[in-house]
Amino acid sequence: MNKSRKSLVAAARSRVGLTFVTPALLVMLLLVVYPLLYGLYVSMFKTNLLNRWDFVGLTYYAQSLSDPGFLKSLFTTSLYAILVVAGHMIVGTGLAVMLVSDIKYRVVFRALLILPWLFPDVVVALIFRWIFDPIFGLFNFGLSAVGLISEPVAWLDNPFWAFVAVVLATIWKGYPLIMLMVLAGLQSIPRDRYEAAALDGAGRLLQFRYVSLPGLVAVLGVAVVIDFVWWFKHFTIVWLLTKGGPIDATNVVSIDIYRTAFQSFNFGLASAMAVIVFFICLLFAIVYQLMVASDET
Amino acid sequence: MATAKLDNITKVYDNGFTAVSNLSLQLADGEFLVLVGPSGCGKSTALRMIAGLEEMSEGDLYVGDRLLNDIEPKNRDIAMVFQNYALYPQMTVAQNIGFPLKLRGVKGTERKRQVHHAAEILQLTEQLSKKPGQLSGGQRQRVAMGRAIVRQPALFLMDEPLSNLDAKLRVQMRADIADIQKNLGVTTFYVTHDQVEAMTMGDRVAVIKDGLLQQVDEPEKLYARPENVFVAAFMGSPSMNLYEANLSLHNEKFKVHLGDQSISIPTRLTERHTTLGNYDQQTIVVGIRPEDFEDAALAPTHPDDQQLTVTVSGREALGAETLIHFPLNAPSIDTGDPDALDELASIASGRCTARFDANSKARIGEQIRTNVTVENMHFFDRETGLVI
Amino acid sequence: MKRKSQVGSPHPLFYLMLVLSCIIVLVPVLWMISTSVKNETELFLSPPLLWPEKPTLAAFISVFNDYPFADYFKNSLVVVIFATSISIGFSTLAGYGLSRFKFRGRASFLTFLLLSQMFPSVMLIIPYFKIMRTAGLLDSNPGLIVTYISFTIPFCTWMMYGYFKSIPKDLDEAAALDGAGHVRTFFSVVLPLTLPGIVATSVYAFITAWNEYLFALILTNSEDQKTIPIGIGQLIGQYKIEWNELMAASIYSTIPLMVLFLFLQRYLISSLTAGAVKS
Repeated sequence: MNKSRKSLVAAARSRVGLTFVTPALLVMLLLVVYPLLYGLYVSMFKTNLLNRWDFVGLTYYAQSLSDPGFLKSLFTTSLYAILVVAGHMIVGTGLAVMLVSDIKYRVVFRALLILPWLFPDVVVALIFRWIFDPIFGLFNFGLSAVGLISEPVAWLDNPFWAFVAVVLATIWKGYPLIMLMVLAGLQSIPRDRYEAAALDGAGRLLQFRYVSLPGLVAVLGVAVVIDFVWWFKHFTIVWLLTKGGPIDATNVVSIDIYRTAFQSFNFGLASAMAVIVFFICLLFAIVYQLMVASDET
Repeated sequence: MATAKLDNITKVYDNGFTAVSNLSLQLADGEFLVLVGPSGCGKSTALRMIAGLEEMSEGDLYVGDRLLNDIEPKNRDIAMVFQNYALYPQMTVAQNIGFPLKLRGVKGTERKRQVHHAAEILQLTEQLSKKPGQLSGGQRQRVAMGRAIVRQPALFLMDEPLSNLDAKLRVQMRADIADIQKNLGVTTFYVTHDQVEAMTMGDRVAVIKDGLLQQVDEPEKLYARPENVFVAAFMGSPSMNLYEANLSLHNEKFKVHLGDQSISIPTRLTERHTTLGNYDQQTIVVGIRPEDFEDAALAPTHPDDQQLTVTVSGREALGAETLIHFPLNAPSIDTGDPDALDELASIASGRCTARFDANSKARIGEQIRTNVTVENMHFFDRETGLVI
Repeated sequence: MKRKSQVGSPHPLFYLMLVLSCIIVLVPVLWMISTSVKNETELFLSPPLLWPEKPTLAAFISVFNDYPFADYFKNSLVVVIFATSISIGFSTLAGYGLSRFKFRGRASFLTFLLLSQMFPSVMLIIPYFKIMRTAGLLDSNPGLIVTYISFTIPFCTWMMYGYFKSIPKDLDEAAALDGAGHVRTFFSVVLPLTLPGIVATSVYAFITAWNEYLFALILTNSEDQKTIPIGIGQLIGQYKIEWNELMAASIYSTIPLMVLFLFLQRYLISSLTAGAVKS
């Protein structure tokens, strides 16, 4: 009877718990799990999503993995994401380290430096497009004013500079989040640890190296993974700045998939490409999980 | 108000760890029972099982005649004071104390009356409209008490309620809680790791270690007649000095050989140790409380063969008394108290503690004679740790 | 936030670098504002004027006259408010359930919440397009609401789970012994304490949904169903881009976020602190 008593009480509690979770669980099943599986399904059909459903198996996977265009877009995306994340980490950490010191007007600096995070992606893309405008743009005006260029440069029409511009705009938009995370991480490091290091004779740099960095490793690690995955899937800023051009220079994988699906109407191929991207992100998700898990133990 | 009965209560966690095994206790109506033990001994688990916050793996729990095994916490008619008080931060003191009444459907004015009554008992009337965040530790503690007493439950549970207070306040609250409990007459089950709290507050004290009940008794008896080495060492501060010693019997006298010295005890003084005679020529464990030593210079009439010659290695003058430490050349005992690390270290080094009168002139490095009150000596079986 | 963790006064260079950073942040913002108050002649001057000689708010009015900007705004508000409220409601319940009770599948659910942050939205967009078409929700506010719920619920639940975890279980236990049932404990004891968390989580959900572009681009078609990001985004596709109107529209779309942040920044930053330090 003892056994049954125990399981009875536990079962009652577990029922209550499930009741609280049920609405969210249903939404997740219906709106996330089902569409994911459906996407997997579509990727194996040549279809217009209406009346034509020809089963093609894994053909589209083979096709996309042997398509130089798709592989190039994966490469472009990786490069874009790596540069963006590196930029976020350097700018975000640097600013956080400065903001955490006993600096005057800290609140003002922080409020201003958070600003870019509050601009919608669309707005960020448009502002930069306007700034980089060859004739009426601020950027060329500034450069010619200091004599760096004599003729207007169409930055966004040059494959190399367009890519640089996209990366810069994305760094501008995304660093505040990293800055805030690192700031929080720094503030969680007890001050006496710095005092101990200072008494041991460590200067500012050594304090950063031996006190701040070890305290930040966990925060930075998680931030890198989240940020990478986030920008790897990104669409809006790139799309509105360059539409993926010129000549595929900024053709990130999200744009590639969008085009394949909604401009070429090859939904099956697009789905297969999306699934491949999903697995790349999943790989990072697993890395992230392992990091979180090792962090908790 | 009711009696309470724990019948063979056992808690085995999913990972196989047994936190409490076969705990049986009976509380008389209105009794204050203290469950004391070192950290991790299962005392809080026991309390939480009574509250219903933790399921019992086995056993039965009765409050009055009511079997509570399958009753949810909210229907048990049990009130609990938590270690960190668990006050509702968003509610005022009055709302905190009134919350259990509100849940029982006590209407506005009546509720207010009862809350005020409880607040008066606890001297919280001034604080009623404040929030817990604005209160001192001692006041929060009182609010937690207030929330428990306001509804006159069948049973009070207290989980180390004083452990977050500073030393001075703890002494005062100790007396206050004991007073309130006596006045209300509510059966109370109190858990602590502090043997001083146990000794001063409980009608009876239950000592528990590794989930096993060691001894239940009135505080004085527990102190004077510990049933095993653990209880002997755990109750009392400084701890009882426990050493291995060889026993021999000559001419109606036991001789206790502590290292290279010995103490003689007339057998008539060891009558309560009925089977001590069986240990002739064997190694046993002897225990001497610090206060059962005295500076021989202050009491020169003490028999010579009930003295030890020692070299003072440490001295702590406490004003009313003086603690003297000295090494004894005899193997010391591991009592199994995980909290007593520093004491364990002192035992390991063979250090013995004596509580001398403040007039003692003993100084560090001096060789002195110390009297031993032999009729208060404790004897334990070396293998089982049980009293002889 | 009073606690400071760096010993000693800041390096003098810090000020220089911070001021420089602020300039880099502010220049695009000020350029946006300056552009929005230019008239059409001043707009297309080369070299450009840093600040117009005759500032005018004309663009701020004409966006409402020349484009269905009022519709965009209304759609954005309706979609975002509904999606946020429903998400917060569900995720608050779920966060409490996850933090307080053990049940089968709890660990997998938590893992899935985290993993779902990794799913590329491009993977969901084709299924959503098909599902919404089948359900007749294409080109409608409800369609977008459902979509935005789907990607706000996972992270809202995760955040709320974090908040509930930070509230001592002792309070639930005290409430249980005081005689409260689960529902009562949730509403009277625990929920009031998570209000800051609910506020912060709502703002995140609001910002996410308010900024969303890709799904709205594909799931809406007619002018009276589009949201602000789509409305602004398509201004750029026109033959002659009216940058002053575009920037005015951008300012409109940013203002709600600025206002939210201004009033709630204390909650937002402390919630980030909690999250960052815990994970």
